[in-house]
Amino acid sequence: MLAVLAVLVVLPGGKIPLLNKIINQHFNLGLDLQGGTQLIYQANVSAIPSANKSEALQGVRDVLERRANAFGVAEPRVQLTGGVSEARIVVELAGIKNPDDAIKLIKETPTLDFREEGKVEAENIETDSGNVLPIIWKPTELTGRNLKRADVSFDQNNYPQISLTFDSEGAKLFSDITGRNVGKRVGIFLDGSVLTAPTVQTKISDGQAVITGTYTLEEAKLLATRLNAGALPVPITLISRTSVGPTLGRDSLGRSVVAGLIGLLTMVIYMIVLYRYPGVIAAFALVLYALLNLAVYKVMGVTMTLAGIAGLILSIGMAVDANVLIFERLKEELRNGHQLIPGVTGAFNEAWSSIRDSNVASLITCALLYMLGSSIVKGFAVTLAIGIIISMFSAITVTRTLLQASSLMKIFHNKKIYTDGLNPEEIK
Amino acid sequence: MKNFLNVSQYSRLWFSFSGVLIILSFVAIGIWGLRPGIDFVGGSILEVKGNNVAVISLREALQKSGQQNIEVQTTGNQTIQARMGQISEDGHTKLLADLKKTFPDIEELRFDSVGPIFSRSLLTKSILAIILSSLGILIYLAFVFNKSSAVVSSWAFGSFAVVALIHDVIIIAGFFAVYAHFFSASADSLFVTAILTVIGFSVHDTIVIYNRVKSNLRVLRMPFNELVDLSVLETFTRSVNTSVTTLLVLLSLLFFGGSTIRPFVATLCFGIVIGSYSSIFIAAPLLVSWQERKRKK
Repeated sequence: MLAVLAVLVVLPGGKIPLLNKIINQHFNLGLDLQGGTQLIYQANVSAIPSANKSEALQGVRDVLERRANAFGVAEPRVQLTGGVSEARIVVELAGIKNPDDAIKLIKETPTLDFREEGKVEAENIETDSGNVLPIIWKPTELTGRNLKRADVSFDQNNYPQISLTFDSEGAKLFSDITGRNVGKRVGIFLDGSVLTAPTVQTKISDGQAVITGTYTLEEAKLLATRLNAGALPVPITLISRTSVGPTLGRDSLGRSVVAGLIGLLTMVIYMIVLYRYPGVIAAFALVLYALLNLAVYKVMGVTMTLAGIAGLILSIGMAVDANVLIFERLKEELRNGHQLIPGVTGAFNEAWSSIRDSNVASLITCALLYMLGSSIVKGFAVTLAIGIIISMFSAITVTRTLLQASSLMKIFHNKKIYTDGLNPEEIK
Repeated sequence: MKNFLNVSQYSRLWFSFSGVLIILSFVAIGIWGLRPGIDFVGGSILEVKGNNVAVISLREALQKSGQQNIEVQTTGNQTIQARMGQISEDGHTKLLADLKKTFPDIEELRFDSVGPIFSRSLLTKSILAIILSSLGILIYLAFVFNKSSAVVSSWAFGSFAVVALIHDVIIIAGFFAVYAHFFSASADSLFVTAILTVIGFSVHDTIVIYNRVKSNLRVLRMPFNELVDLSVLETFTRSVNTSVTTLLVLLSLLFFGGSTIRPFVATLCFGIVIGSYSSIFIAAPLLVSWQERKRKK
């Protein structure tokens, strides 16, 4: 059954949706294989009441994701790790050329607020020193919190500008502010410095404002996206960064594929030399096994990393082990004078407890690695665990079915093809 | 062949051999130390490539740029790696700009920087992972071998599997100290992964032998030491074949795979050999020695 499934996976042009997914979807390549940057942030949630912590973290994640999107990276991956207690966010940006810019953009919190002209005698109020006539700006209650959306639009001269749409509370505040400041200026501030300070012509109550200035289209777009992304609910600190250049990534990928193929080939040769006919069956089962593994990676969306490939290759080794255990048992059964058909059944029954126990022990290790490891280690644990589970099935289904089926055929009745032939006197 | 596999008869020899290996491991760790990777202690690693970039000139350039605790080395493929203290985002931009001034064609292949908060928690977790997986295996084995025989208690099977496993961990750590000294590598989270994998693999081997002991105990009537030797002999081909096939793949990874995971793969290769050895020559005779000691009491 599994053999059929795996063959179907190999044949193109399937009509089953899952199959299409397997054929058409590309492998998820990790950053170490395609180049890119991984950033790990520590969120400081100590000030948040514990009931709201996970919500706040989700908020951080969403904001970071929007900011990462703003950088124009294809499919940035942003994940929370370690739950509320650890409060970490992993940001993965594939294929970016300048990680430093990305880091800056991701970390910066754009704060947008609106200020009105204050009275001159007021002290301790920020001044906008950029203007010729110093204006004293007085903060209002209207801030980026009340922003519903920011879009890029164009003014009558076709210069890019940013249109702001407020939520209902913001619209009311804006209406109040413009209402009491007709003829005066209202300053729109980003990160504490004035972006634009238009003079209010009339009270605006539709909740719309426009930021004009000498923006290029790119700048306007970036600003709009950043404003849309909003502010972080809690402060974050960058605690780890890993960048792999695209050259190194491609190199690693190519090398791993070559190494995997060479490894598989030498193993197949070894098995055939050692076990003759069953070795051929095992080789066939192993190739199916490798394909099945790759298909599962696609379906489950497993990210392939260098460590993940090592996990796959190791699991191939363990899959071989299952076959070796069965064949060694089979040889013994045949040496003890059993007939071929009961011999095959006996060999499987005897080998199964060893296969099960040793694989369960490895699964225990995988589970712990997954729970406690860093993301590299997790990738290794996932592919190894998938490999172990599939290998248990492939050993007892593919190998067994093929051996049993062929043991019914006359041409495969010669016991010699099941043993190494080095000690033929032992075969009865 | 048969003689040499009478492991319980020569158990003293194997125990002393392992004892020597363990002492050598501690000596190696004592002399060269196990330098933790930046993911455990914090710091940064920069890997670059460029026409005029050499170890000495890169070290000078890094010093001039104000970096601390600099260690520079070649990694093969004409790339050079520098390990230094943690670098902030701004620091990295500045460092690259500084390096570009000295080496106009420099290409940054890899840059990792890890802060102390992150590294500390990862170290704790890694140690926890090793301890918990040993415990998990111990409990699972005790459960599976439960009431398997009157001669050996199920906890003995589990405990000796864990003893063999600790034996492996110490010797692998010793090997890594030597490897890291000559090929300059550091014990990072991949190293811990390698150890955990070998633990899994070695326990694999041990379980296969113990399972054979268990099933032989059910059907054969013979002295316990002979029974263990027979079990080892019966499973020996399997142990060797499995290790060899896995080694074949790992060796191809070692020689043809990427340089980033080379220390990891080398550790795995060595670990698999040690793991198979300890299952056959340590875990199995331990059962006999323990049973004989118990009988004498």
